[in-house]
Amino acid sequence: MTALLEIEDLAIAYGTARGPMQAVEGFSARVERGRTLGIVGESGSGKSTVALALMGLLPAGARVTAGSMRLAGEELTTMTPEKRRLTRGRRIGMVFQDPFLSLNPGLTVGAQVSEPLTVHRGLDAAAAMAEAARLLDSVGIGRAVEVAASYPHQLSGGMRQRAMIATALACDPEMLVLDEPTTALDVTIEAQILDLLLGLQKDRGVAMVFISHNLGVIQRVAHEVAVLYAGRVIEQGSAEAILSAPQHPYTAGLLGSLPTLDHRGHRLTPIPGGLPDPFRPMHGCNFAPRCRYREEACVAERQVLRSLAPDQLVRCRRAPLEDPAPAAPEPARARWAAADGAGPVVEIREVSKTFSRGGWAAGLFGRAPATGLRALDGVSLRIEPGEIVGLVGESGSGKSTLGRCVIRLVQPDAGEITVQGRDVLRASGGALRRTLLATQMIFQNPSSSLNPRHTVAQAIGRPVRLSGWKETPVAARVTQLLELVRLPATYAERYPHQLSGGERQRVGIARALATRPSVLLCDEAVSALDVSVQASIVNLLADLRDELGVAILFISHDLSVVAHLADRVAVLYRGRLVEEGPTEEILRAPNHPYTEALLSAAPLLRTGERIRLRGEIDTAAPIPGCCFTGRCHRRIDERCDTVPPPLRQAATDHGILCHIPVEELAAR
Amino acid sequence: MARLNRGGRLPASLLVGGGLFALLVAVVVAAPWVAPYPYDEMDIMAIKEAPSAAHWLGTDEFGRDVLSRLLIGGRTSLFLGAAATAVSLVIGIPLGLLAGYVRGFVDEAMMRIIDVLMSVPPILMGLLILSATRPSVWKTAIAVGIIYVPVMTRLVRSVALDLSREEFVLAAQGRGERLPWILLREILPNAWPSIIVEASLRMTFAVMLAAALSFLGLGVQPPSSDWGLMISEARPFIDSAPWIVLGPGLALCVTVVAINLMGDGLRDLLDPRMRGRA
Repeated sequence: MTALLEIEDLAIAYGTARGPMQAVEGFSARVERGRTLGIVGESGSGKSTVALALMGLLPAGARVTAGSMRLAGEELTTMTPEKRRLTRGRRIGMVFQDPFLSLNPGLTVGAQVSEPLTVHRGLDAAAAMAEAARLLDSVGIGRAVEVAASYPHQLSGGMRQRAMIATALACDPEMLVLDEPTTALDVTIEAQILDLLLGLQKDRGVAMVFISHNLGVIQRVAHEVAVLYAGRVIEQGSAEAILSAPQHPYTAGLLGSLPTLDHRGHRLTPIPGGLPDPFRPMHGCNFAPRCRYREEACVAERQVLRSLAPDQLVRCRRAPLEDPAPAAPEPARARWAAADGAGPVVEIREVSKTFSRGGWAAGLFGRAPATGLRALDGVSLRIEPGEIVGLVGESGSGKSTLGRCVIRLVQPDAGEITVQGRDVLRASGGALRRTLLATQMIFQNPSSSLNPRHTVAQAIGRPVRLSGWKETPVAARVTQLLELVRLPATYAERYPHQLSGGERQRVGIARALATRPSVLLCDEAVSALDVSVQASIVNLLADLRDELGVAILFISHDLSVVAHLADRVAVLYRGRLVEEGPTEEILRAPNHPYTEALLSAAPLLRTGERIRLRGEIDTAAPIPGCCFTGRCHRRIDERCDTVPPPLRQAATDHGILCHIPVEELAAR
Repeated sequence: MARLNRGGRLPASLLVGGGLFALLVAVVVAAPWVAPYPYDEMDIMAIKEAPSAAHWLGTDEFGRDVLSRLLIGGRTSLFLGAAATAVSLVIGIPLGLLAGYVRGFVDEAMMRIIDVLMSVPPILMGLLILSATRPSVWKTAIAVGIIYVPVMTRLVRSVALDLSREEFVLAAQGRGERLPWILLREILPNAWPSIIVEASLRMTFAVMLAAALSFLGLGVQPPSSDWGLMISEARPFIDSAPWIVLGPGLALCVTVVAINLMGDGLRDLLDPRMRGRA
């Protein structure tokens, strides 16, 4: 019997002003009914191009130059546009990455879910609406009729992604193409969506092509895996074989760059270098320039996929690698030590912030801030000199607001913040400016954190001047700072668009270091980067702490990165600190139930029972009791809803805000 | 302002548009010396004559040479367009930057005032500004400029609003930069592309609006002229003597194309991204 989807030697090229660019070449795969093919790759690997080709949605200028794609034996590449259109939606459903962009904000959810039903299945409006409600119900949306009548902006990200899946499933397709469907979601919501997809696959026997950069997610959903690198499959086979024993240096490198909770303290092994120039296709191995195992023959000879084990193909002449483990660990370097008796660098005391929902005029008309969004609720946190404090929470937890309060981008309603003993919140003029220089921020988005009109030298030189640097010429200081973030001095004259994402992030770090700050605030500083690049930035931050003794407040939704880097972890939920303690303590029981759920939801190639949280972070009504009670899997009784939980000491420095006694929390 | 695109080739649109515009300016500046006839000399023996060797673009309803009037009128038209745009930029950019970045009450108040101003038709606005005093070219330029201030402010505000949310602006706030630096060094350079495109459009509209005001007797006073006024005056004869409109019409077209090409080219020139990847 033929497989549902058979792809053979697929090649796709983009026509560009600089000539044809080979996006994908020689891609072959088979997907059986009820099975999932995971396509893994970093940005620029061509994984989304494969998805678009399957759907027949390649952008203008891109075309399939060779190969075939057959759906149940029927050729897709030569199909007429009209037939292709009918195939889309009816036989292949698609779910995109961003649930905020892929639903039309002007139509109700019901209208969007029922649209394919009227188009492809010819149902009338009323029947389609009823069917839409049934579909929404089947993807785990409660109150489906009510949701169908609402608009996308009234739903959370997770709900929207469920609605997208319902739309894709509307015509009972044989296959789903999912392009990074959980990347924009919080980990606990991601876990829910993955469960949903696995359940749907079991019930309906639908085949899935699941595209992701996240190896942990792929491990949970995929049966077969294809690892793409710069348009070529470099390793392909059973998910189990590849993720447990990768044979290609790139796959091994990707796994090595992933921070995991089990191997804390190890230095991550990033993959040096960047993607090859897509306009100059390489005859030999296109990963060779970045490969530790490179030999002359790798570059000279054409590399083919060859079989090592029954379920594993690899495009590497040197496989099996004799030494898949990383090279010798670096010798331990001298750690910066804090002077005894130095006070905390940052002290946050009882800080609260409520955002009012209206504009400036809302207050005039008596709309009290009680209706506002309580972003921070009496948060206290100390950062000692040279300490890395991780601040974890889902979106909406208030973690970014806290960071912004420290540099006065947001003015809290109550509480106190001092930096090196100097008050931040009530300072003004020159005093405030001096204090601000001691706390510098590193931002999430490498494409927007640098002014596109300023060269690297201008971007870094400005804060150098502001901080009153007199010791050397500014240009020399800029070179020194570039060196500090491991960038060549020649980069000074470049503009941001001439840098890669990782390089821009390094410039952002150099700019932050230019004022010789005592604390760096990293707000999701590595979240937008590819794994291999992320690892090198994480290493850099750790090194900078060791070399300069700069303290770091590392704000992230990703508990595994935080746990890897931080000395101490604080967990924020709905504006309250629910747990805080040394990282080692946080990583083992007892934990706050929320931390427990975060730990188990983190997709880190771990096995074992996972805790599922119900629902999503609810930012609406303030509650008198525990902020987590609505979603807690260990909720005791009404006490949780009405009585504020006590702070329990699990160990010195390890506090948990919960009604459940520590001993009971420890016994999972 | 951002550094120029050193080393790279100039954008083709800038070369063509800039060249054309320079030519236009050169011709109208030299007009008093190159015009074949005095612009206001009437020849009642040659009324509404078709183009000929003596009158390359024909004559108008008073027997005046269209080419000569075109050359002289171009001075007024180009001056009006440029001066009015400059006025709208000088007032609109600071207001827009401030409203878009500071937000809150300042923004709200400014936008409501602008809403009111924009609800008044431009011609009526011109009447209000100009009718009190004796008309002159300068006053017309300023009046037209003021009429376009609300549009310009709106545009700059919306661009500044988007840019204020960029992380590099947060970074500047985070190191304690003062307001002028953030507005002029962080936001403005990134707003130039939109401003330049809008300004080149405004310049062409300004020429037309000035013409309309002249037509109502509030701008340029006959027998002086500008292209817009020439078109307005010649409109009744468009069937019997189409060449009278043809000259100024074509001149206006060429100007519009030249200015817009130049605007596009300038935008590219100022964009460091156009320097290509290193």
